[in-house]
Amino acid sequence: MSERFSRQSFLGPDAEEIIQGALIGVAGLGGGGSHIVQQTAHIGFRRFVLYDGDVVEDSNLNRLVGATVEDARRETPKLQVAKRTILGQDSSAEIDGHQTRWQDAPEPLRLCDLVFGCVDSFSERDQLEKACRRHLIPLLDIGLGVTVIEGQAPVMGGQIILSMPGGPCMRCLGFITDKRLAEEASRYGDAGPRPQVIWANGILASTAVGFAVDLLTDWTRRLRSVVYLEYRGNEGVLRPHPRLADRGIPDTCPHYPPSDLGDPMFRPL
Amino acid sequence: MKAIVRLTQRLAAEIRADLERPHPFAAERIGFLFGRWAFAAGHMMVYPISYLPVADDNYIEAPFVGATINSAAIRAALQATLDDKAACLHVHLHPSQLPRFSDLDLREQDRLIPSFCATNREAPHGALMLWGDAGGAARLWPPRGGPPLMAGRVAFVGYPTVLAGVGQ
Repeated sequence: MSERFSRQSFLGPDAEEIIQGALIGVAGLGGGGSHIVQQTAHIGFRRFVLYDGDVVEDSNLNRLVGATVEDARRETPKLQVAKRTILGQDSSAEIDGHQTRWQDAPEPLRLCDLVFGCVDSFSERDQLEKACRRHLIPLLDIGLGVTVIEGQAPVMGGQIILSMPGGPCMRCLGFITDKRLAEEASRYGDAGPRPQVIWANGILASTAVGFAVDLLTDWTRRLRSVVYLEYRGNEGVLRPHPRLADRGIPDTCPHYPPSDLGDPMFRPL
Repeated sequence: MKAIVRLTQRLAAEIRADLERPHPFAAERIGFLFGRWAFAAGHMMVYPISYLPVADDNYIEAPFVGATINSAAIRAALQATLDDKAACLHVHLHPSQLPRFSDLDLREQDRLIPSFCATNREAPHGALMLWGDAGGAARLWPPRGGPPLMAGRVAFVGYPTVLAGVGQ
């Protein structure tokens, strides 16, 4: 264990090597993804596949870690901000960056050992999970939303889901449903600005990074089943989602059978 | 071209449980894995899905080697490769030896795996070696010819997710 990482030596004697060798993907480098990038770089991850097609705007500065007023003025790509953050920790880090949505350059994502999903919509989550399941890649999804109803206090909530190939998926967990996808599709183009705040994104991202490190190093020796946490921002609570107590959640996912792994192929009917 | 093998911890546990069983005379056991494959960004990936053990009767007593299997075992694996249009990996266990294929392993793979390549020319095939409690290494033959190459990554996906190899 090098001196730089000596304060995290409790992660195990091989942790530094494991972390440095892992190839992690981050889809979305905004409010959530920017935290993920910053923290993983600090921990010692140094091999990244990054995706985001957007540039920094004034409205991002309340939460985009690493972005400056000058970035907003210059419309710096969020990808560049993420690269700058990583290279500030390790100038020799290997970054395969794509200034686009992951769907437009999906192949590098398939090489990743672990993917962080920091996307905005149910449909994007659904697509990202499909891609990860097809290539046997664990996916850590984070998301935050604030519901504003006139006359009431805004309600802030979010989730962290570890979607493990073979185990329950986001559909099994009741997080992605056809109804939600349909409602979202019906609102297409009418989303308006999505309320987001840095502290809530930070809680979700930090927790997800913790699960990623545990998943790869097994330092707690406790992470042995599906992760589905709900964040109740108004109360400052992060807890196992009540749906996990539902006996209807299958151990083995029926939505992504093993026969769907790999490149699609023709099969006789 | 680089290579990646990913399989679930659940399947790896099933393989280990079978390969760790003592055989009446063979020093080690052998099995075959069948799965799907993909190509992306200059990599070939194999994702084993199912495991076929070699039946006790299909081992041959042979001095100086850990295990030798007969033609019935190989024929069964070839048939499964053909029927399922699968990628096939020969698999064995090194409980405590060095985490690499032995010279004998490499030589025998060179004789065996081309038959699988001829059976399903669309898929990569090869060999997987599990070692210790959690590690592994793999050697893959690209489809439609080309020399075999060592997988830079063998990932055991589950809780925990174990990454063997040097990455890509």
